[in-house]
Amino acid sequence: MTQFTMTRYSIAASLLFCALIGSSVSYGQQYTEQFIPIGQSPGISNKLSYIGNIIEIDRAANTLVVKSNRGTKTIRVISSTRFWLDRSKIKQPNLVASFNDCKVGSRVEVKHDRNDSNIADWIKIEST
Amino acid sequence: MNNMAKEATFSCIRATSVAMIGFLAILMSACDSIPPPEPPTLVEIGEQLFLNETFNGNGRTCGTCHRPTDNFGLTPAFIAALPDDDPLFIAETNPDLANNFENPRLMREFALILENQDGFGDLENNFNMRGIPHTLAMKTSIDSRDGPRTGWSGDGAPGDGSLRSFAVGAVIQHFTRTTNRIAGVDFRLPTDEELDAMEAFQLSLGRQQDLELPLPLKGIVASRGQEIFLDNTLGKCNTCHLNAGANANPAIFGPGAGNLNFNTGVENLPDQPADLSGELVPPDDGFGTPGNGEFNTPTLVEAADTGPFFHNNSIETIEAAVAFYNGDAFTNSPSGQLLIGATGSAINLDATQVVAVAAFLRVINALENIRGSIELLDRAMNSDLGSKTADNPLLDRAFSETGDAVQVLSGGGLHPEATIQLTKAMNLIQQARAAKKRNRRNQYIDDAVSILKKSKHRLSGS
Repeated sequence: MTQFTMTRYSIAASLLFCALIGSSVSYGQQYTEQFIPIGQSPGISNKLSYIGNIIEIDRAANTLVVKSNRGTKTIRVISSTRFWLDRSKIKQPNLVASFNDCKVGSRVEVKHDRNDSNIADWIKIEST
Repeated sequence: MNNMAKEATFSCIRATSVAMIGFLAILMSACDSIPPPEPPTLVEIGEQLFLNETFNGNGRTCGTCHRPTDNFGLTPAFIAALPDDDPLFIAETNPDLANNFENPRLMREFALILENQDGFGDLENNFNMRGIPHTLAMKTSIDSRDGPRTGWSGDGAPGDGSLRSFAVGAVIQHFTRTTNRIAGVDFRLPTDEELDAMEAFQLSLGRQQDLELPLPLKGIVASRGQEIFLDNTLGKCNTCHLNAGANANPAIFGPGAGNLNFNTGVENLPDQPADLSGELVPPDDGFGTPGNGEFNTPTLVEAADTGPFFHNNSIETIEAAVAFYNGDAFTNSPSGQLLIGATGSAINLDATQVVAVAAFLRVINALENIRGSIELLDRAMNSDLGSKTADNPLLDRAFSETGDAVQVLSGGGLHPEATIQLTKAMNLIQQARAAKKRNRRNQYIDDAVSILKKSKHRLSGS
């Protein structure tokens, strides 16, 4: 391989590297998570999530306050936050939900973003 | 009875009693010195769970799709030999799973399994059909700088996305009693301890480290194939499959790149077998939702005997899989275009070069089969239990591995003398399995190992 070709290869390879590093950063199968009850998400529950009860909701600000045994946490909901109704305790299928399904008093599990613990990646709302 | 006779009788009784007491003392002493059996290891517990635990679901286990004697994957040929009441075919026998759970025709004909990785809201239309990947050499093929990569598109596990968590998603997708998928009703989720054990078992399978190429191969065609594989101006294979593994070359992709995803255009292949069936096969957009078209890089050492190839089982032979990179689908793909930009040209191997690269892949696969078979036979010979119940599965797998090596080499017209030896080794393994006495069985095993080692040396100098 000539010096020119090597240099061109290296530059292009670096571009390839840069192109790839911007993609495929998130991981994890998102959709089977719907069927995992509160507190049972492997590697997530009680490590990257809060489990507690909603004590306050601000729908204009897209925030909710969760009180857990770790204290009180204000969580921000963003456009990519996913919501599920956990109906496993009433032996019904879990459903896709929305921010509107969050109610004060609801027991929830909030998985926070890996890089920002104030942002909700997903929220499971217990249905009783 | 006179006094002498009485005395003789009592003496006899005394002597017998003393002898019995002595014998019992020796026996009790011996019992004290027999150690209790070793508790099962985490890997052994994981193996039992993987092969036998149904998680209160529809009867399937992990081993239903990841069959030990089919390289922990599943091929159409293996499926064809299964009885109709095998749990694999649950969609054909359970009315609750008759719709939107599997496509029996695509399963039986092409070993394709239904996945809802883009959501469960529209079961009738929102699914993909994917092959069952093997679970070999995962110690070498999951880690990447972007996190663990599992499954065909690298995003196969829920929770933290790890191999450990993968089983949870698999139970939900494949083990459920109904499409309601209610935890505690349609299945139970694995416990933390079960996840630990199954992860340990899966990581124990196959190679524990990558090869270090080049190998001193003895076949001239396979040697040339290795040269082409490693040549960044010709085969360019080592760019994404470093050392014929699953990891990207750090010299090109940066340190710690690990197991990456690429869009190689497989989805754009014309005349894909599943599409020819007329069954609904929605396009598969790969990683994420919506997908970016990228799929995860598999290992190549294990490739030659684990076809069909690619996420949709669209290519049957290893030669065709190599030739794929010559074709329009790859050349026009994002990865193909980047490779052209980086190297100045597309991959353009002629027929003999394709065959040479395939021969290289066949030979390194056969070498791995031989290594794996020897390891299984050693375990069978040295197992603590020494029972046929415990050892026969090991012998069965060793028989399959050796048989794979025969098929892989003879399929490429390679090393006929080695295939004759490997066939002898298979016969010895069969005889070991049938032997009634342990020392005879071990002799057969020892002879098989000796022949396997000789056949290995016909393929490679290392």
